[in-house]
Amino acid sequence: MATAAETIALPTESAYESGIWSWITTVDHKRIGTLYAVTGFIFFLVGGFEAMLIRAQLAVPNGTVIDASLYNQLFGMHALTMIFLAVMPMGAGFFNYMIPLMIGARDVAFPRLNALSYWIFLFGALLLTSSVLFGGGPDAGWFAYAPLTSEQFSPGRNMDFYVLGILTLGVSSMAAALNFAVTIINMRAPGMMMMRLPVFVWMTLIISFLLILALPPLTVALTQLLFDRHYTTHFLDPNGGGDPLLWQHLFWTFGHPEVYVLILPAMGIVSETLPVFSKKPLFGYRAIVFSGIAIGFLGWAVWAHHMYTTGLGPVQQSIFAGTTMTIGIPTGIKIFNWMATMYGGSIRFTTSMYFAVSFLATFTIGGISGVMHASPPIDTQQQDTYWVVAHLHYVLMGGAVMGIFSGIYYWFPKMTGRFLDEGLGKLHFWLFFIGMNMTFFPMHFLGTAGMPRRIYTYDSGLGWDFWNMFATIGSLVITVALLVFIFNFFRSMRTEPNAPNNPWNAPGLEWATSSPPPEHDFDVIPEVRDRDPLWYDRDNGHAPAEPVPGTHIHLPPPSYYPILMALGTLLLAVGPLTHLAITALGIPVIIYSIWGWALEPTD
Amino acid sequence: MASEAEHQEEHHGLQPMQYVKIGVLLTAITVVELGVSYWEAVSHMLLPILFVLSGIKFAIVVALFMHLKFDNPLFTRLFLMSFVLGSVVLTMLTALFWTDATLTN
Amino acid sequence: MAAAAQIEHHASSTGTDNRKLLMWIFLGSECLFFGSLLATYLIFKGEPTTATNDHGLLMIPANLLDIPLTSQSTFVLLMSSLTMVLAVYGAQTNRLKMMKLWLLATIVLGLIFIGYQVFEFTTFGNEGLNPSTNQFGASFFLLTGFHGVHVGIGVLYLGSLLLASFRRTGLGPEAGVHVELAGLYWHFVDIVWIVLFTVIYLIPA
Repeated sequence: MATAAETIALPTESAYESGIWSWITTVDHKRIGTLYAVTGFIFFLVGGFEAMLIRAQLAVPNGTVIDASLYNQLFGMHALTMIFLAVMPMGAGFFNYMIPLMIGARDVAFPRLNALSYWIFLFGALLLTSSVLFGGGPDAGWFAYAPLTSEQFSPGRNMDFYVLGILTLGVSSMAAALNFAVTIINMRAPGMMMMRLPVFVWMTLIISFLLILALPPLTVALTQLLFDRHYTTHFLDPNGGGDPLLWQHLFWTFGHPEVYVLILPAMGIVSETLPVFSKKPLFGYRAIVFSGIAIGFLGWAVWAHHMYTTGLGPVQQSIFAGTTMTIGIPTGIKIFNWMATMYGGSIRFTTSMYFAVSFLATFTIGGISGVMHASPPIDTQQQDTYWVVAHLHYVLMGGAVMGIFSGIYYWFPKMTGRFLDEGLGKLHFWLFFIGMNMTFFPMHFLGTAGMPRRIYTYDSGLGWDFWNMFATIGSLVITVALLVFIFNFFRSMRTEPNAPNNPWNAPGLEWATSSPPPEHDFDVIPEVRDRDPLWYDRDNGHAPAEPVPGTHIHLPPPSYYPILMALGTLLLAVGPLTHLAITALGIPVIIYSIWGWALEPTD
Repeated sequence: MASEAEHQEEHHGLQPMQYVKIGVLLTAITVVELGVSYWEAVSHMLLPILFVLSGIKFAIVVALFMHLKFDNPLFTRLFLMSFVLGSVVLTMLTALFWTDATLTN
Repeated sequence: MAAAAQIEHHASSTGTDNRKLLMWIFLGSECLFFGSLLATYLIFKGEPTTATNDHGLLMIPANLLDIPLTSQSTFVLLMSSLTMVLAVYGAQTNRLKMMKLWLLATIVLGLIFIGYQVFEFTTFGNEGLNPSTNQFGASFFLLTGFHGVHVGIGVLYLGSLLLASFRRTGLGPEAGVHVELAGLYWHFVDIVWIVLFTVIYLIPA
């Protein structure tokens, strides 16, 4: 229907603008994706720097690199940075760039809302990170348990930065999630039925709903914390009739779906790259999709497995142990289907493939340690020890980050028209793989040997010295790996952008347009006949549709209201930290932005 | 445009007088709820009665005022999914506290 | 251009309007938001308190809640849903005077509801109940306070639509959709109150 009005851009149509103002006012999903990806990667390095300081301090017993107060800020900020400012945004970078292309759309459902999400993310990230300059970063862990976070035990503004920073970032995530949910449901090309969607798109749809539904309980918890700290309520304060566990329950009601938000996109990426580099269609597509949906639902029923040692009682513990072990099943189903995809395939050992295969192994190791946690008696031994640190880094570094790197090497040609050097890529991979295992595998031993988490130093003679030093060396290896990657990136960006449309011979729609795509993504919106559209068209002799000359493509014009509204949101958040007058200033800025946004022409 | 007007005609399901009648019905149910909450004889059954009555009001506003009944079933499914998920999770949460032996209630 | 007018309604994969889909999904998230606040209220409900005011009145719901008064505000909000749906009808059938009239009526009723809430909050404050008094105070004010803020935002939303409708171009050819979207939000705020009124006021401790 819409195709009647579709047109191609004449070659002389407005050139894809450059310059800062064009980036500030962009509503193009590809540019927004790039902004997310670059910002996310920079914060990934920031989080890595925080980790390196931690490892430096823990390399030897009685270390003197960092004092206790700074250490507490470092591990809190490290987690917050990695989760909210690195992994999620890098995922968002891929969602933004790839999803419209993968479903055959020209942009997301709400382009300006998309831009708003990015700018609020950036400002929220800066707000949260600036805390280290203004009194200190959040120093009660990323999970911020009460009553440590109360005004009595956390005087100063560290935890206020936490509350306001995360509230701000939550708005960004909520807006993005709503946008992607509507986009995926409503903007698919003709013939792109739900069960033909790439798995990456399915995973994005699922995590969008996870975020939409999980962020509200967190908002409530953060509000209660804020009120307890500054408006003399006692939601979380036992001395006033409150209950610290209320925070834990509400936080983990968000927190557990959140970890699936972190891993499902990487699972989606791996579901894209494994088939391409095995030259075989994905095995068990339906099983993988339904497992993802199952994980999305089951993930709501497991949260208190983070709270086994809070005195839940045997009935409650058993219930959550049951649900937690159950969620291992759909995860396992996916792993087997990925392996079956590779089996009998013609494997191409590209760097992207290396990372994808490593994902299978290292994520599974994290999954195994996780299943052990599922048992309350075992967890009582492991809780708050380095065993948990090992588990979470295997699923996040060995899972999410591996998946993201697989995606980076895979989609780099599409996004930039250039290739990352494969030789350097393999070097990056091996250093990263070895470094990651060196750093985190010994933490299983440290945990079993009783080393608690979140301690800024430890005495010698406890049996922890050797593995701590070993882990710190491993972290140096990771650092070198990342330096290799950064070098590879800059070197590649200086080569000629002459990548073909489909260098990997992949089946997805994003490969049906140029590398990088033109501003309008597709000259002609494709007609989809199969789950692997390009392979189907190639095997059945379907040529790509010819553009109809003389037609006119309408693209949404750029707008400065998103960044202005993000600024207003930032003012709202900064007020409570400084002067409420600033919050008051934010309100007219937001109202003005909403009016301008609603009234500005979109054609 | 002609097609837009047609689109709009099929869009809304009810006429103003019907809406007014629904408004009256909602008021009546509210009055019943109030009465029941004061009525000693059924005080031991108060919770299920109120649950049902406010549930009916909820359903009427969502289905009729918010048009859910006449709109694409997708909306119903999505809203119901969120509502049911939220209700289940938060009931579980409340129950965890109400059955917690460590609370001094 | 004739072609430009056709571009406006992009066909969507499900035949639904993107903005309506957005609003319905958003309302789903609001279920979780108010649900969490409600859960907090229920968790602390019935918690014994020793807080009294200067006259020795115990700060519990039974001594403070004014059910007859709140029934009036509940009726007001319920009626505002009726006026809202009439405004939507007016917008969708191009009866713009009807739309403006009933939008205004909804705004007025919304403001009256807020007035009742302000009155109730100040009365409670005078009687010695505030968020820091006890758990009932904290959870009550947080829950009903957030609801009141949502009503306030709704009033601003409807007010904006009403103001915009007085422009030369009015609300444009998609007036029906715009008012319908606002209606969805407004009705939702009403059904939240339906639940809140029942749980807070009608169910005894």
